[in-house]
Amino acid sequence: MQSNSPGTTALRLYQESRALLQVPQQSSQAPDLAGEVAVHAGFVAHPVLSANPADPDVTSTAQPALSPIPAEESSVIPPQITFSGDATFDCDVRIAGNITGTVTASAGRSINVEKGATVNGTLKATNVRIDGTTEGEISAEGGLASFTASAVSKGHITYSRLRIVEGAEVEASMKKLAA
Amino acid sequence: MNTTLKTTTPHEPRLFPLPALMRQVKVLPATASMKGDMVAAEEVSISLDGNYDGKIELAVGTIHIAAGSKVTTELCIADYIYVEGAVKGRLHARKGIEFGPKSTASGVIQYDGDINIHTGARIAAQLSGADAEYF
Repeated sequence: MQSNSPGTTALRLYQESRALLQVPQQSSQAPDLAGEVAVHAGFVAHPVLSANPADPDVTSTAQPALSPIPAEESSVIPPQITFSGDATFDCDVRIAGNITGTVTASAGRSINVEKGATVNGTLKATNVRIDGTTEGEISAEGGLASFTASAVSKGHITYSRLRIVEGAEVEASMKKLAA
Repeated sequence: MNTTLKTTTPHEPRLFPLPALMRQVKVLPATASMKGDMVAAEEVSISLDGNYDGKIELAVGTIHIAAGSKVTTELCIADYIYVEGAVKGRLHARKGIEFGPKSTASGVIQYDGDINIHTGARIAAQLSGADAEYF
């Protein structure tokens, strides 16, 4: 019998996501869907709260769920924030606030200083993109140092590749390193 | 038939405002570390998932110290603070502070509004709450 109950909808979503992920169905019995569907939908929901107890297709029994698909983690310094100090990230960093100090992102990662943001200090990452204002040292060793039309930068720039868009105000000493 | 479940799950905040949890910005991911001072004059909701050492002062807003994070602070002040990780130092919540079931805290905890401590939280701190009426 066709039903449009939340449990049936969840079952369909579950089966579709299984098919997309090419995960073999382990059992012909209806699995616990609530946790998985919530994970794939990108929001937090508790299985007990999400399951409809009136729906026989869905049980609220806790069962092992699929591992969540790892989201690419990144850090955001929002525009309201002013930070003074040192920060080290193993992910991409988006700076929209104001920073005084050193920001380091690990190899292969990027730092983006957004329009309106200011950084006084040192930025180190494989790729550094400046849309805002910086003063100090920028190190894009092995990668690209990029300055857009709204960039205002003073200091020293180390790069393997460099892009400066017309309109950018870059007043800095520069050193090119091998890519 | 009433099918509504009114169960409160242990990991859902009971005091910390859910809208703030939904719109919070992850300033410090789990693999990151920051040492210094953070200030915000305008409203913001932030999440700390990594290691933080320093002061955080939010004039308006919320701080979520997520599970797995470690925060050492001389002062963390915000409207609401939700601790699920480990904190050492002084916390000051102007409206409310909540400790999740796996949280640990030591130091000084000041709350001008409400406090909510989940079963399982481990707290070894001096508590300073809003004025109470003594008999």
